[in-house]
Amino acid sequence: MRLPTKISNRPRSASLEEQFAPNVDRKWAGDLLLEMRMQGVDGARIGSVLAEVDSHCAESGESAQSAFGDPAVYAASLDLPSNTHMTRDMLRAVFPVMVQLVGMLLILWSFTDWRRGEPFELTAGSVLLAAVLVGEIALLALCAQRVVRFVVKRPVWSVVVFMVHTGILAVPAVLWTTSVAEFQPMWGLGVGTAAMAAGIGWEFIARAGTQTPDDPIESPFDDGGSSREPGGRGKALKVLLTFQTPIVTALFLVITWWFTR
Amino acid sequence: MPENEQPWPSEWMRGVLGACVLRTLSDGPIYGYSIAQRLAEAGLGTVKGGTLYPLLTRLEKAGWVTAEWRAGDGGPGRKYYLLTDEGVAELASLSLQWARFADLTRDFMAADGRRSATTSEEES
Repeated sequence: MRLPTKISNRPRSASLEEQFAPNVDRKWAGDLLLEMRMQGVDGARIGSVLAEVDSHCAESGESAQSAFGDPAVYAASLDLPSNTHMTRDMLRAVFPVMVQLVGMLLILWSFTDWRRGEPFELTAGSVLLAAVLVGEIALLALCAQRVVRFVVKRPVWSVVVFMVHTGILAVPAVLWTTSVAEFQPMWGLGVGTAAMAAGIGWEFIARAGTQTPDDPIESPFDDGGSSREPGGRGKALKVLLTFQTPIVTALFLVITWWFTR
Repeated sequence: MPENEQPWPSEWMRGVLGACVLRTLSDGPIYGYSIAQRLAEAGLGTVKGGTLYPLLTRLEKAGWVTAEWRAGDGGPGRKYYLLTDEGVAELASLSLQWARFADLTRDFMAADGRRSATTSEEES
């Protein structure tokens, strides 16, 4: 089916809202899209709902707010089937990140001692910090919908909560210095690097094993476009996200190297 | 009457809107905005998208309606809704039920009116 609409002619760089609902207020369409994503609605249905709202607004000349009311209420009123495995999928996605995170902490902690030529001392505070971080990531995955809703609705408060939380988290790591174990820093570096590599490999395998890992938003038309294939910048961003933990680790290592010269 | 004013109480509309939408579909495939226009032309008032599309989704889930996307006429594409065989049967059943209900209500209101008038005359 050929689509003589603005949708197919939109440049790939256009935002999802502009690509799938060019006749709808961008913020309204974005809120609707976000709400449906948070409900776990699949990409094809999201594309269809956006296209129908767009069609109605273009035909009637009404604004989406006037015709459909609040986007969150409208999304709920459609009562669309949602992904019942959302929590399981989220946990599967974050397990490799947890392994990478543990690897990152081991590398960073043992690197400083290796530079100073001292043995690596694992403190109770450090173990607590790692355990809390891993637990928090799992909790974030389990409550992802509520967390995203809070961040979107209260961005300033979210930053405040994050900053306070980071500060509190650092306290036991600094003050609780009881030694739990002591070994050569090269062991820490080796185990940390292995954990990091295993986490990245796990992430790649997990992605390859899923048919539609990103569940892209699909236009209801054959040539109406999809968010499936990102352009050059999108692909670069995806690679960057996969390697975010080693990149951050490398940055911290450079900084640590600089300060321990 | 101002354009935005609804001619009928919303609770009445909630009861009858599903049947009316099925009726608009019985004339052939039709898209959402056109359904709203048909309802407005029939004197049922403005049906907002926020009411119409969730209703169409429910009708689709019930199996009474099916939908297909078609290219628009120089504008965005349109989602056309069609009655299924089950939808045709449901519309026939609803139409009969509604007609009986409307007759009953009209007769009851008229009878009640006559009784009130008679009682007032007897009292005076």
